[in-house]
Amino acid sequence: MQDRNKTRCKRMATLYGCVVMFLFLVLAVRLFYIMIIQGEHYSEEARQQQERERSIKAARGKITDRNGVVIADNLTVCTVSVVHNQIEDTERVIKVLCEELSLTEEYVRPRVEKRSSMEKIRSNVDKTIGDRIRSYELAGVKVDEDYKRYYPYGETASKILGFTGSDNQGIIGLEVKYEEYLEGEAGTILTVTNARGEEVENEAEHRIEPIKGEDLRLTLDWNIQEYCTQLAMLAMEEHEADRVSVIVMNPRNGELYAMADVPEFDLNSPYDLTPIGIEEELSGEDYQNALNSMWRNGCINDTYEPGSTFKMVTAAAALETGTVTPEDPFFCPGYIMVEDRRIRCHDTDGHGSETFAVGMMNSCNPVFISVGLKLGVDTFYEYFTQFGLFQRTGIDLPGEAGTIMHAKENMGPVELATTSFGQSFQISPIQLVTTASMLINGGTRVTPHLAKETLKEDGSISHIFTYEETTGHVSEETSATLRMLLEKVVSEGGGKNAYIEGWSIGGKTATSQTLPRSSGKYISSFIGFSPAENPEVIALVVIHNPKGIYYGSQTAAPVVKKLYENILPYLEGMNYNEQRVQ
Amino acid sequence: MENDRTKKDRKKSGIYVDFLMLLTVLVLIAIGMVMQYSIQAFRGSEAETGIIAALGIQFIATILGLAVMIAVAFVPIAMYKKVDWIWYLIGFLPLFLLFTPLAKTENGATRWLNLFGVSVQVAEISKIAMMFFYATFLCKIKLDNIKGFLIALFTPAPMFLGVLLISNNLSSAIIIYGICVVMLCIACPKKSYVFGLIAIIVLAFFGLLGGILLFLDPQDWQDDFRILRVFAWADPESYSSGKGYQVMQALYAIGSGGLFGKGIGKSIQKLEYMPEAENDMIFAVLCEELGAFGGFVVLVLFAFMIFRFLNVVNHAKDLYSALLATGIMAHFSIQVVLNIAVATNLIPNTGVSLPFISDGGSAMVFLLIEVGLMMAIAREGTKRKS
Repeated sequence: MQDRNKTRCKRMATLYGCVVMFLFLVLAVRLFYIMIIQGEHYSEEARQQQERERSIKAARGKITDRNGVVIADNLTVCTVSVVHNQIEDTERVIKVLCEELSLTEEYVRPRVEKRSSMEKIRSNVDKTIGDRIRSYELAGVKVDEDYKRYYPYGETASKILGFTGSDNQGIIGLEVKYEEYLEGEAGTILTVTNARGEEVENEAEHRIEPIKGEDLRLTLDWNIQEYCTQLAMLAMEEHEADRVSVIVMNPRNGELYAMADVPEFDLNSPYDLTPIGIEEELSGEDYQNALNSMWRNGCINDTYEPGSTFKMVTAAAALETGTVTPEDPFFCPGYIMVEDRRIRCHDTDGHGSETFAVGMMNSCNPVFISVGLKLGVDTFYEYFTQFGLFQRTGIDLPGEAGTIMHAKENMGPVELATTSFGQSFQISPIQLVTTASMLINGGTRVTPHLAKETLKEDGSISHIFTYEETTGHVSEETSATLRMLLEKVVSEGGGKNAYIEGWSIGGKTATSQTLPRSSGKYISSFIGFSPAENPEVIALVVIHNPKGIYYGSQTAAPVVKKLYENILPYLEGMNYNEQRVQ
Repeated sequence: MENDRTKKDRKKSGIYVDFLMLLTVLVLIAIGMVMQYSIQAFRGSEAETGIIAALGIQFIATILGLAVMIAVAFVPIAMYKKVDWIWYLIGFLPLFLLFTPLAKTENGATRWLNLFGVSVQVAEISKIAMMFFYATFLCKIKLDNIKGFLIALFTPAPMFLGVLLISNNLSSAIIIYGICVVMLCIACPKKSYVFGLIAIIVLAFFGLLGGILLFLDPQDWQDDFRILRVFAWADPESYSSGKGYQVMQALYAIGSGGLFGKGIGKSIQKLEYMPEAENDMIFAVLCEELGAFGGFVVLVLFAFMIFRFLNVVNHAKDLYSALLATGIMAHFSIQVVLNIAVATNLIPNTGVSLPFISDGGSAMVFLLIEVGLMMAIAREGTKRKS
């Protein structure tokens, strides 16, 4: 009995052993499945859970002028944060942070005591302060280095460069326009932590290095830009003007050499209004409006009545259609009757008998009104369109203002007459420069621009910007005639204040009364190019609301003269156009 | 094989020791100590008690266990048989002690007794007492009729309910019943009863799981952690912040081990991500640190140990010894299979420790007592042959 039982037992026990071995086999297969087949998946999930991410800011690309002068740079600054779990001496941490960062205890304490994996106390801390905080070797206090935008020239070109916000993102100007090139790619530090968020010692950090933003090389020539800014400041002071805008461009390809719109603002503290402290008196909305108007770039964001500088457009349309030749005779009695309106010439005694060429030199309104009326609304409108005045120039800055013009069906003889000498409609200064460039360069409408190319960290070019150019807006013949007429304006006519011995300069003055006409406020301007026969540079100076003498010929023209006296020899030395041909 | 053993025996002056079995056990204990050290090194650096204190208890328990094991190995098995049905009472006694101030509550469950500063899980005592009792019982009862079979089958039920209800410990209750069922199946001469019973158990198991998953709405059972664990088992990722958290953490740990693991001490999951890393989920930590290789080695060691146990069963001197050895073999195999099956999410989560490797001093002592019993059975079995 015992033995029989035992034999049976043996068989059953062996069967049980087989069942157990089978179950072990199932476990082994399952283990193989989890570890080998699904291993990747689970370890990835585990890593995501175990790693804490800290981002490393990428250095923003620098902005340089065409010759490599750095005009927007990065400063190393620090971000001070605390890791709650690692803090050993809470009181000391609070005390040190309050002292070093000049913060109040009410601000620091809740942040230090907050149970979060990482709490930022302050960013954009000076590197020396950051280093000092680090030297305390306080457990739980982290000082991470990052970058802050720094503009070594402060105010110069502030409105075109723009500035960046707290996360180094562009806010206005080129900084926002070329964000995608400048921003770079933030990196990350992945630290392995335990379930309480504490870093595990001796575990390798996974570090994904940040990619530095590309450097942006502009067409600006910093010497010219700085000089223009100085001239604009001087003119603003001299004439007690509200604002002075200067644009210097290469009319052949649209490269802007300078663009100033004073008063500028300090790019390193773009939220400070002048006078300092006025912010506190303003309501939120008023403050924002004040900032917006301070940041506004009058060269492109605003429009104005171009006045007599626009006569070159009327002249071009008339010459192109054959409506007029330079020798055609005109008579100016000091006014002209259009329908029932008597429109005065600026010379109320009248210019008398004059050819069209002389009318241009005299900037005689009756001459241009006659020509305009002869062209008629349809033709005038057609050329307005053909010259591209209705399109935006496409400049690579945000917020370009469009043209404000009469609707064709509302345009009667009076509107046509005033439009002919540049009043009763508005264009932006950059539009005027672009259109004038087209008229004098043989009919090619270029896109005014500031960005030339982007460069990688090693200095190699990674992207060259190309801009649209369309030809045939005006014939070469008309263009040549116009250049000749405008050269005479400077050498013999109303623009003689821009005349420089030994240089051939073409140009046109303008003085326009701002709306309402009774305000007694004027906008004086001068547009000039050189060499007159084959223009390589064109400059526009617009003085808003000069006090005292307000004629463009006596306020704006001398500014261009001073500018050209200095930059023409300089540009010749730089040979920008020759470089381009090569 | 037989000849081999007898030769060895003679050399060993008549005392047979299954060295392979003993060696396997010692290797597993060593692996367990290393894993405990790996986990406690982190704990110790955190807690006031320090590594030595935490490991010390485990170490002392192991030494004590080994001493008891050797002692037990020399006690004649017939001694235990004499105690007979009293074992049943001995099994119940600690359960009732849970109502006295000796009881100790951990993690909301009262399963431990505080005896002279040492905490002992009552189910450990119930398990071993039940084995002794049931082996005697099965020797006496006639199992060739359905009545006897059913009586035998339901005899462990009060103990099962006692462990389940008084100490609120389903996994231990299941292990106890599981051991008894294996012993019953081996003792029963009627195969039809045995296979019928196995079929019913298998069907009941899958029927229960299927029924819960198909017919219950987890929303209605938010308070019943056992029901929720079944849902979490079926879809741990959806329950990963609740009942599925532990098992997801175990899968992360096992999955990130790769072929050869991160190296001893390099587990990240043990750093408080995975609850019960030193206990129920130690196998996951082992896989993370030692990789698939380490996991398979441990599986093979356990398989080999159970194979040696089977050998002891087959060479036991009488039915009682054979049944007792079967019970011990069943105990080890059930715990190993359940523990690893839980860690790999093959079955719903239930707290079972891994023999020799999980933390726990009293468990170590009781496991080594069982090994001592095995050695005694083996010694007597071969003695008779020689």
